[in-house]
Amino acid sequence: MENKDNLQLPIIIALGTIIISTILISILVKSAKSRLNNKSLSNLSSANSKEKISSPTIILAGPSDSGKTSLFNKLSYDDSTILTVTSQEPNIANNFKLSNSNNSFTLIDYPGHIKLHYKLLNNLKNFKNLKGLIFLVDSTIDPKNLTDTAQFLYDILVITENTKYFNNGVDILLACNKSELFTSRPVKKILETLEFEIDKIIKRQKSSLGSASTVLASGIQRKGRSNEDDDENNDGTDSPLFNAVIGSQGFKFSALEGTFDVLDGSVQKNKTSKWEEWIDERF
Amino acid sequence: MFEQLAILTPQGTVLYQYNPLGKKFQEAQINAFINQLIVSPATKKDDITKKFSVFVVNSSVSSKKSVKNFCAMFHVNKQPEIYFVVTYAELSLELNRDSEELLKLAIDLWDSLELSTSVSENLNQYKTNANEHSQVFILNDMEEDLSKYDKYLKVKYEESIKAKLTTLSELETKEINGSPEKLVHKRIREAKKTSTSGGRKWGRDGMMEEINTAEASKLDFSESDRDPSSNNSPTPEPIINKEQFGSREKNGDYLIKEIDDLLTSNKNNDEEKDINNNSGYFMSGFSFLQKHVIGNKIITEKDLLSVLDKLKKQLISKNVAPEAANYLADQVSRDLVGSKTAIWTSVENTARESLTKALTQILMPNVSVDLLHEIQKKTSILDSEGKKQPYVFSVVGVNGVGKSTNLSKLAFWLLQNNQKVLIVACDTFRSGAVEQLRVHVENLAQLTDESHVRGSKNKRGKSGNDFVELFEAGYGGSDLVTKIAKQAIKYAKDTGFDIVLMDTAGRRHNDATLMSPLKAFAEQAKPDKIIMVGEALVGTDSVQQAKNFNDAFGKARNLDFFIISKCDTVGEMLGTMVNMVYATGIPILFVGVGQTYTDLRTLSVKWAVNTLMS
Repeated sequence: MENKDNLQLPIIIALGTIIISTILISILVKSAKSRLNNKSLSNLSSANSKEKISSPTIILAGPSDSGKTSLFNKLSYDDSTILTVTSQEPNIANNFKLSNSNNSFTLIDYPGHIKLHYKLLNNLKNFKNLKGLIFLVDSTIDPKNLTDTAQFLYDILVITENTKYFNNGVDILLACNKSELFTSRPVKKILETLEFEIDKIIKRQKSSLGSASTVLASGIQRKGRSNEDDDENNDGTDSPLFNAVIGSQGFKFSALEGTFDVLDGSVQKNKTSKWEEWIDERF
Repeated sequence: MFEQLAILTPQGTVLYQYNPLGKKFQEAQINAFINQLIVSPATKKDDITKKFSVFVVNSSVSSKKSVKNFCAMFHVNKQPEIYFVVTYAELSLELNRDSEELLKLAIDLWDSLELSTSVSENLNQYKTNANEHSQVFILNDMEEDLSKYDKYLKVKYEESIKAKLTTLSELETKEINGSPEKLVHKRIREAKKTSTSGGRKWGRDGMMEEINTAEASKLDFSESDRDPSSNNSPTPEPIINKEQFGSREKNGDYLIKEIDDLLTSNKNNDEEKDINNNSGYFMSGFSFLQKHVIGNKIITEKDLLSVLDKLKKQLISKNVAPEAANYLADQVSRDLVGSKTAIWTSVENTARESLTKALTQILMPNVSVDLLHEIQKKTSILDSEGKKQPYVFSVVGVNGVGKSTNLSKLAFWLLQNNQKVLIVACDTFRSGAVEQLRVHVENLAQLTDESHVRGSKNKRGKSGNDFVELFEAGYGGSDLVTKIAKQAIKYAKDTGFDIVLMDTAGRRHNDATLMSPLKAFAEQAKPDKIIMVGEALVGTDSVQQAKNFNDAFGKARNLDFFIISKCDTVGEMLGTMVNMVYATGIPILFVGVGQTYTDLRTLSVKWAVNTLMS
């Protein structure tokens, strides 16, 4: 009897460890899975995320009140009647297919409020498989007031045209929403205004003051910790886009690395088929 | 009466909206509210109610559409994050109380119908599609519940209105009957008491009834004493009720009873849940591991307590005011409580990340800071006489923060951009202030034109040269300041200057006699941009400085930008930046980083946040 007991004890211990470890592993695997699913959601709005996102993605951007969330709802729930107000967080649809298409992708609608632009701008470079970016504008806005919109588009272009982040640029669609309204402007007019404004912005950028980080960083931050990614601190002024403009006859969207298209449409009147086709062409 | 009730997600979807007058949903109003919430989350909050935040939304904030000023009372539900907003016309005792009741009712009803659970279920299904061409909408399968919610809310609200009318009319009759004033007061108090408890109430004629109910609730131990309405419901309908409402349907009565039951049953549920939660003590060992090593843990307020304390201390050590640090900690706990930590991530790291986010959001400018564009825009417009309007800056701040120094740095940058700059000495108080500016002007003139001889006059007989010039009118009282300012702008217009830079006297922010002339100054001189210079050295007092200076210009005018000076002297202690933006919601335009004219920089939010978090 004693012998048997001595034999059994190690076996019990061994069995016990096996059981415990399987439980632990299964818990870990489970949480890892849920982590994978949560990853994109939790990080998309974080301030300084470094995580790369590799699923194919289409991004909706643009100024406030241009109809981004409405378009998001139209595309992902096929319902354009949902009431929307200014967004504070991005809307995300994962693994999603457009009706009458088989390409699945992630659709993200970033808030358009100027204080929340950083949510997009800080994360944009992390999308390793960005299929396209739809920049919505409200086509009823007086072209004179498009400067802020142009600035936002410029901020996006600085990142998408940077070869460090995107090899061949990013395909961009300028979607002129609310085309059904009487006061809407023709797409050509909007395009020209934006080109003109961006041209001016680039010229102004050259004469604006540098950012505080480049000067103070050398004095303050050099204690043990190296100034992470020095290249991140330049404000995009060395990007090819920027240099290309100076000396040539002005900024043209056609000079961008990625394709640049302009299409009008209306979320309210369900006239979004052109934009959906454009998305389909990206795959 | 309130204007709108809206329930929305931070993603911008309106879950529910109610408008007592049956009007169309006014997006613009809610948008203006959200805009203000994003721009200045901490300001203009009044402590009228202890439960909910209230602020007045100015029409000036919402630039696009003309929205009248209104008040918004709101509550944010965590997990899932849902905003409950009630808007109403103005801050008045009665409206505040009404809105508070309505908001409370809306939230209670929402909870008792367990709509939050349905919403978060739908939210969690974002990974699994309804079918592959359509996502699960946040309100999926909730139509029935929502319509129920709609019905209940409206019934309850109308009921409370009726009750209010009843008590009002009763009060009037009482007064006519000449009943003692005391009684009326007692009545009002009683009315308040019942109304805040969210219960229904009806007219009762006199003290007798009142005592009865009080006694009944005292004696009746069978039901929870928290709920006076269920105590009242078994009592027969008072006679006055029939007179007042005439043919109120019995149906409606049942509905209200149903709602009340729903509201009470939910409270009991909550208590039970709490007990259940406590029984999981044997998991505590594992949860320790989860908290610090493994991750994937649902964060509770308790977990965050020590972590937030640590982070707060760190912030305060970096010169962030305790007030601002508390606000940031609140933001973090709002962000995290109920959410899950990522795998292999401790609660602390998750909290740090969330704090980084909150800091970024505070420091991000809320308006475009492209000054050159605005200058070009204004100076390109010619008036009827064919003259261009100069772009006027005025610089304000406490004594010795570097107003004149930063003004000349600004002038140097503008000069480099081929603008003609007129510097105006509006500091007519401190001896030597004008002379100090003259030295700056001489320096700047020499920098723009090497042939400039120091001390020489230009062709108009003033200090400086064609590009930069000093406008001075000696020393004197505060009347002189506005006079100089007006004269200077006229002079700049006549002589074709693009920019007018006005230096003002430094003033202590808590001295009303010194601060009050600022309002008149802003009204008379109408500067395009009022810039406040704050020094990075100042610490906790910066909150008050920024607030007082911002308020000094009256309701119609705010500061436009901050320049934070002396950033090179504080090392990592950049907290002042956070304080000033926190207190006012006004962005930082430039930071001063040294002694020379070129040491003016734009703020890199990323750098500031990283420095604060390191």
